[in-house]
Amino acid sequence: MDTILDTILTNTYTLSRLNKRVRLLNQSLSNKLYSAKFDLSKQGLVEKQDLDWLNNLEIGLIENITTDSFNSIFKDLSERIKQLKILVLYLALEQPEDEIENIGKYVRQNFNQNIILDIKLDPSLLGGCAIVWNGIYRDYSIRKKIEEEKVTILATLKAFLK
Amino acid sequence: MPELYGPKIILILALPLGILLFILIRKLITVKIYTSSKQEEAPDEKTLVFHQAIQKAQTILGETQFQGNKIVESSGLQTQKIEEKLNQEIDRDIKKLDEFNQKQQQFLEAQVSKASKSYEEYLDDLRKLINQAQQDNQQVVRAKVNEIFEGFEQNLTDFLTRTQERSVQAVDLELRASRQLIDTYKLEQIKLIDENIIAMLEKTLSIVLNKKLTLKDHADLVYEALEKAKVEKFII
Repeated sequence: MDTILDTILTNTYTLSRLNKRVRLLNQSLSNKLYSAKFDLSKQGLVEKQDLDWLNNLEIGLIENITTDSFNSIFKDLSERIKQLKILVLYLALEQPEDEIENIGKYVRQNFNQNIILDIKLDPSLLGGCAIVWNGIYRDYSIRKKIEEEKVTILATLKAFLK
Repeated sequence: MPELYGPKIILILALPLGILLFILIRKLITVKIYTSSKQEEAPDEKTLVFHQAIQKAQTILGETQFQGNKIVESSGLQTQKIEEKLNQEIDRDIKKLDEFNQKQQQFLEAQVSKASKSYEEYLDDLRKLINQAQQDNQQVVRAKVNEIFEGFEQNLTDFLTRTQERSVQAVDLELRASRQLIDTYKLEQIKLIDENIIAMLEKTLSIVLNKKLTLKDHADLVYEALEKAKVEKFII
């Protein structure tokens, strides 16, 4: 089970993507184990990226999963996911997937391998981001900088107006 | 008064003689009765003696009567003399009494005039004392009234000064409070204006940056923020 999660986490950096892939894996294994004729690719429910990931997933990883262990494995998997360290990032502008992946890699390289990102949008930040870690919120956005430099900005503005 | 002495003396002298006479007569009567009774029984020497005794008693009685009359006459004369003497003495006494009364009257008159004089003097002195006391009281009252007026004036002055100070203090306080209120209001208004300016600035920047900043710029800003977090050791 640990190896399944580690394998999933290798190229999964965000929480939403992780949940999606775990769901996808669940669906795929259900199809195989219960001989369901549910084609995920055709339904248009899954993104190509995820499908590619699923297809590239090592067969040895999931061949030992039986109908008996299927439910327990995924139950444990979801429990393990809850215990992961989540870094919440508030972005001013929605970034493309590859950029988010880059950010995810950056975070894992510089901080902790087991960090998973939770990306949220907050356009009022204007630029940069705000971070929530261990329940503490810190603002590193342009809005915060304006707030900090308010006095200087106002003084400059008033001097300009005079 | 002298007229009463004469009859009194006569009465005094006549009374014992009368009593004596009465007793003798009674005795004689009893003797007579006895002798008559006894004479019938045995007329002898005893009755002779008895007759003699009776005769002697009668003579004695006559003599006493005579003496008594004499005494009465002499006493009447004496009483007259005594009366005259008494009258004279009484007149003398009356004169003396009159003189004494006159002297007493004169003395009393002198005393009365002396007393009235001294009383008048006393009244004069009293009048003078009263006047003096009245003047002194007036002076005291005047002084007291002046003192009261001065005290009142002083108190009034103090009260007015204190009132003035309090009024000035109260007005000062009010002024200060009003100025403070105005300053606070000014500061609040300026703060509000500043916040409005910042809000407008943020709005403007959000519009401008959305148009001017590329995705790469935004990504760079994110990396910059993560770098800052690393420096601050926020993410461990």
